[in-house]
Amino acid sequence: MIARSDATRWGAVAKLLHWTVAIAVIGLLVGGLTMTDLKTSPQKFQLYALHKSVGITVLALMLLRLAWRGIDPRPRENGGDHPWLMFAARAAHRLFYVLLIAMPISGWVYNSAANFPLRWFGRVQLPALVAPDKALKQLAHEVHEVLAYTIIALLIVHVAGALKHHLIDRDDTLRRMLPFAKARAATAPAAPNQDSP
Amino acid sequence: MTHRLALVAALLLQFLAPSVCAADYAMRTGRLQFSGEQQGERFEGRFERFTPNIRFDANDLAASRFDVLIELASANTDNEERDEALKGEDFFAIGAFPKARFVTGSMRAIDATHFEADATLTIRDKTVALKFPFTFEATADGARLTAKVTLDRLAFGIGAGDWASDEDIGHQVEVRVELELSRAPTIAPAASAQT
Repeated sequence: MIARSDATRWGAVAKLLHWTVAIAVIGLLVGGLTMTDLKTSPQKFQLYALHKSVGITVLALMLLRLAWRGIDPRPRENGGDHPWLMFAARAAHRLFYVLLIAMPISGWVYNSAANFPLRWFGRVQLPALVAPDKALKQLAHEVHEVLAYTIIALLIVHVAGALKHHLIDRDDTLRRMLPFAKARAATAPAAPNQDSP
Repeated sequence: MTHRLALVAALLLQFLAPSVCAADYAMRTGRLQFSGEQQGERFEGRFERFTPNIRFDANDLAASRFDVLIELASANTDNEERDEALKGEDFFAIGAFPKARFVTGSMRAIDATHFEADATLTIRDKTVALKFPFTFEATADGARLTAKVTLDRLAFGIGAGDWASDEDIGHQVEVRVELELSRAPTIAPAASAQT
């Protein structure tokens, strides 16, 4: 596999970052939405600690992605869509960066305002972003929650877009991001509708 | 004349009831703080309501005695979830045991300002004997009492069972006392007669 992306496919680094973040975010959403209802127990505290560690990891990976995006070429867009749809797709991807950076920061602020410890996987102690503050804690919690539902909505749009490309347009937009997709999958981007009757 | 009579009376009282020799103090301001460890990170807390009954005289340690009631519901660690958990069944269980009590027994002087008491502390239904080293210093308007002890939370059954592991919550809890005391007015004449 080639680390960098080119005009027809995503490189290994971009794919690895994409899928690691994808798995982490889905886990965080499922965990985050269920763990709040648990009865207070050591397991609940451990689950929260894990949620925070994975969340901080996503923040680091997103900053890394942002940097990598700056130096890595991007494969050509599979065109043919209405201009506003093309615009929406680009905006959606940018919004993902914004949300996936804002999300862990809102959690970090929430954690600091609630005066909880923050140790990345029990190893690296991270500083509190703000002093203990009940009003800010409540606000940060609400922001964290609203962002969660926004991310879920965007995730649905993202997956729907990928499936539209794969099933309707029959281009390689989805395939070229798949972890073990062969390079040949990206060899015919110019004829998206070749299999159509 | 009446002044002299009072002095005689006070001196007489000293022989009749030795315990009045030791002065009673009232707390002007005070802090009862504790620090523990959660998930490997230290946190600070304090009890906002406690009632110290302090009777002390460095020259009459036999009559000196501290008796402190601590309202456990007033524990504040600046963390709502943790404070709620602290009040619950698994920790202080304030429903059944709203107050902790600290009582000293015999005291020894180490030097002019340092002392040590044999004491008992009762939290929940557990009474634990402990050594209580403290300093007691006269100040311009009374006295200052400070102490620091380290307790094992499991000795009191605080966070036993599911919470027993020290990976979640450390076993050692450091407790710090800082009291600014005034001489309680009622005993003041007897105390002044003595000096």
